[in-house]
Amino acid sequence: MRRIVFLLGILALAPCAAAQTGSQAAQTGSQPDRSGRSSSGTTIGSEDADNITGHVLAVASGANASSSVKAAPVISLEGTTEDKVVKAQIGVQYHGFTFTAGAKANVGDDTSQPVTLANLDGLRNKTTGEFGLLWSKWIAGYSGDVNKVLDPVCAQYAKETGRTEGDQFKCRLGWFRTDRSAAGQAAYKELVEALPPGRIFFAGINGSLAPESFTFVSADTLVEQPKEKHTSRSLSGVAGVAFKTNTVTTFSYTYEVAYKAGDKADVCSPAASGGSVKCSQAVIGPPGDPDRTNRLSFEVKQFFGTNFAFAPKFNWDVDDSIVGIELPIYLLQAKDGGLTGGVTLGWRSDTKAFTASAFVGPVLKLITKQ
Amino acid sequence: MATPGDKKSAALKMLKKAGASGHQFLVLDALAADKSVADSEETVEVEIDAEASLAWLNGVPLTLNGGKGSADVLPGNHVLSFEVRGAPGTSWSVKITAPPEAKSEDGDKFDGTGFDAGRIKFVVKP
Repeated sequence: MRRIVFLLGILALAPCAAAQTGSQAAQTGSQPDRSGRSSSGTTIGSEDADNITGHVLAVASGANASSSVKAAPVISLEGTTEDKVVKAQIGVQYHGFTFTAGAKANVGDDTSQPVTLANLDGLRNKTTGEFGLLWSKWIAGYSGDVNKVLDPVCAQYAKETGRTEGDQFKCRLGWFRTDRSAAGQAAYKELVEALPPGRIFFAGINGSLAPESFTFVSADTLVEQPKEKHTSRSLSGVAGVAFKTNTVTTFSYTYEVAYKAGDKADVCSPAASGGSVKCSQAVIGPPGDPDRTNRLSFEVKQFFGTNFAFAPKFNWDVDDSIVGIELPIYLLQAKDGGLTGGVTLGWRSDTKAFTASAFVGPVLKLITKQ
Repeated sequence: MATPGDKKSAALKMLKKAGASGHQFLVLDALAADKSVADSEETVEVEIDAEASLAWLNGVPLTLNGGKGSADVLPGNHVLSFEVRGAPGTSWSVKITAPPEAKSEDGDKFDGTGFDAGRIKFVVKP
């Protein structure tokens, strides 16, 4: 494993945490519980509390509007060196928001040396700084505490089967699905009808900066010129909805400014003595104007059970009026579950070329961050 | 003329008739003795690993940050109810990590619906 050196305090090793929605508490703010207290009150009563108990608890605990639910941001850290790319990221999640920031750099085969992603002057050459902010909100199909639905169903199941909750069965939708008994299937059917998954709305922005020093020789004199420093950058916005049918639609817009080095060529000059020449590779000419791209994308992701999914994506390069279509078909399952690869078909309007290839990538998630 | 003891006794009988038990009596007793029960509270910590999650503790929405949340409760019986969503075939888990006597967990892989909902009953001791 390659050692990673961080000279900037914020660039700790960090995971890109899975997208999380904010809780309903965050969405609804303060709402009364059964005791009439604010849900952000100091103490939460027991599950068998009745009105009297609720009153007693409210008085006993001196409940007021102050929040007892701890809401400190959660920070997650990760570092990886997969695929010869070293990446470090810090993630902070608060209510429905997830903020990530980090850096990544391509590294060579030499794993004996530490890699410095950044120093006090900023990002190092060939390092890309990235940030992202994702907001999501789950509007569940059943409004409120699901225990109000679970409680009578599980009580009925316990009565019919004589089983004890916790030890002999779990009061859970997915557990009843696997119980093929009549009582189990009746409970499952009732819960499926009463607890639809609802929809998840999400939106976010992502940005990246890639400062780079370009070394080149003059095209006229082949003499080495002073280095030019340019920063390639991109900014993208994404918004989408995950429906109850496990259909996920996502719109995204990306603006990119990309500097590219000129072509490399062998530059030869006379050796110090004799008639021989010495040659070396050099980039001819400066990077010039950057490529500016405005790209719109629309993706529809559809899961069919646990073994199959596809995610057609339409890309439109606004500046060059180029349309690209990708059709990843997910068939391969990851060892720990989820779809991770398959075949992808593609087509571009400028070349009129069809492509097909096999791919393996990260596990396909419901929510697309970018 | 009813004494404070008689009143307390009558109140306890009414509460018992209404179904109160366990820590409710502890609270009432403390009230009668004009004591605070604030020190009796225990912090329940919950961790949920799923793409999207919602949770309630005794019917009160639990704020989750990065899937983690906590709340203070009095000793007694409690219930954590939850909903989770994620990509079909991927795993999810719900854990109560504190207090020690309440530690418990549930988890599974999402079926084709990518959705699950359930509850965990647990006890917090004084």
